[in-house]
Amino acid sequence: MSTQPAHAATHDDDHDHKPHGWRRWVYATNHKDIGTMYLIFACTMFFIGGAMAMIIRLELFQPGLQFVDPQFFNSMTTMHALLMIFGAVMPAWTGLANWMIPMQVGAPDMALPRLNNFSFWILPFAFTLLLSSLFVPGGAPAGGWTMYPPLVLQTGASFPMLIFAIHLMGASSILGAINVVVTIMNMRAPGMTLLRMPLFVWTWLITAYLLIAVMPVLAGAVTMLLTDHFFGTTFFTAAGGGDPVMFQHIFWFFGHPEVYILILPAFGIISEIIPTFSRKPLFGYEAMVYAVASIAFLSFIVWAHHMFTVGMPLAAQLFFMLSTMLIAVPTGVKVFNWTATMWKGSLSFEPPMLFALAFLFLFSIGGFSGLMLAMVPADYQYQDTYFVVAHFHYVLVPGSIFGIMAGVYYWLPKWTGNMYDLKLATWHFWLSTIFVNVLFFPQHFLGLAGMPRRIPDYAVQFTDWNMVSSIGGFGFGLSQFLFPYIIWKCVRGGQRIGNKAWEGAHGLEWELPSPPPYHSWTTAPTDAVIARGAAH
Amino acid sequence: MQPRTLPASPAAPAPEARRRSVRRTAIVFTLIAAGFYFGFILMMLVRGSR
Repeated sequence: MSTQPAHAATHDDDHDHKPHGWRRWVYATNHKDIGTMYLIFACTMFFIGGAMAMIIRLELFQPGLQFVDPQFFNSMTTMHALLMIFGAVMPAWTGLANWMIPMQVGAPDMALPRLNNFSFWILPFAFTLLLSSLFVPGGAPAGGWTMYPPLVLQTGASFPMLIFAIHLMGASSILGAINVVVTIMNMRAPGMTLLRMPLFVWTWLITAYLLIAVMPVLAGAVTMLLTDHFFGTTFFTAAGGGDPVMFQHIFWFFGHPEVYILILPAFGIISEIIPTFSRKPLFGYEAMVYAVASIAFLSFIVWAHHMFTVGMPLAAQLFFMLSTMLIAVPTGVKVFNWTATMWKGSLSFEPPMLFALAFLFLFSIGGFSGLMLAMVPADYQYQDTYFVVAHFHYVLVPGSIFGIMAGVYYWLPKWTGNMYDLKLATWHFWLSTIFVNVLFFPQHFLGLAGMPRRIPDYAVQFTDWNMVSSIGGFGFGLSQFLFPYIIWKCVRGGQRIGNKAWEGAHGLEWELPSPPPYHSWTTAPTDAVIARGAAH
Repeated sequence: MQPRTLPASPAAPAPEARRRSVRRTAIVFTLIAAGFYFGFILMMLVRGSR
């Protein structure tokens, strides 16, 4: 950790005035303020969604129905997924993009600040609508986040609330993505060519294209559900000539790229952190960019691996199996390059690096179980079991969530100008990493033994591993309270840091003072400054 | 860690030129996104109602 005094800002501080009071936030157009609001929103949704996960694990602690009725249990699984995906992980990435992209490309702000404000403020309305569905007759949606018909068409008064909330979330994501693309295309400092951009900016650019391409597909799918429910169409109703399986194809054409929307920015963050704490340039920068682009492309041609058991031609099964397995190639390139970056590096293990290393190991476990699920004959056995639950939670929790936490721990000193409590953050890391494995690893055994997902009760032979999993869940849930506490404590004060919080850090953001001025680069950085940052 | 030697960078675009470029890119991507969004919904509804 570097503690050199902050040197003069490389820009004009006359612009550093900011509005005060509630207007600063409601009318916010500053990328840092909007980024902060996104991150606070995501954290709030993470804890609400987490509370729902605690209810799920509490009910599954023992066989039998203990605490909640099955309908409410199914509402909890559905709402937990919707909140975590659309309310926690996606807004957290947008928050990090807002904070970091202008600083990393040498821009004063995002290209479209008012649009930025609008795309954030859609979200509280969308999620208030979704959460208020818990209180309407019939309860919250309970047909799963995948909303498969005909089950989802049986949803009560909350059905239109679900559809409208999803439209709002989709609109917010598309607007945010347009802003990111326009910013990266137009606001880069002279000399910051595409292949000199930090990997986080690259991964976000590719993610933004994915968002623009697939969120409309989700909008189309849920609109058809809406007309099936209210206007007598039969898109997905077999009795009227429709096809329920068609919904699954459309949904997963959105849903698989969505998985990469949730994980690609984490690849970018890990690619920033590992070189910093290895004190070496990233191994194979250009290969990393091409690997991310390849993964994004492949994400469009693998969707039916989510639905092997619906009955599709053998040729289709083979195509989707092999195209899915192909994703292992660019993913392998990335894991190899991260490992090669650390090879013979001067490693140190501060909290961001710890989270990055846990990401590397645990995301790989999720990747391997993904390969198992990609095999058609094996998938016939695993389909809709807890093995699938274990797989995607390994990808999303120690993958996406650890990626977000790594990013926050990496850039928090830059945002606040203070170093956070490293000891407490290390505790947060170890508790999270131990409990996340206690929580999700036993679910592989449960799935292989045949326990179905989305059930509130189960056969007694599944009791032991469910108890272990629930204990892990409670431990993981409780340990997450350390995260906002560490951030709050850091915002209030701490050891002052200079421009660079970490000795090995490179990039334009570390050329700005800590905390950075209200408008980041009002004067574009010079070649020499960009050269210092371009460590790859 | 040796930073790569960079070629001289092009001059920064004039604010008005940049503003025009931002506006142009924003309009293009908004049209693409809106075309996808409403086009996909319309296509589904029209094809499905045949």
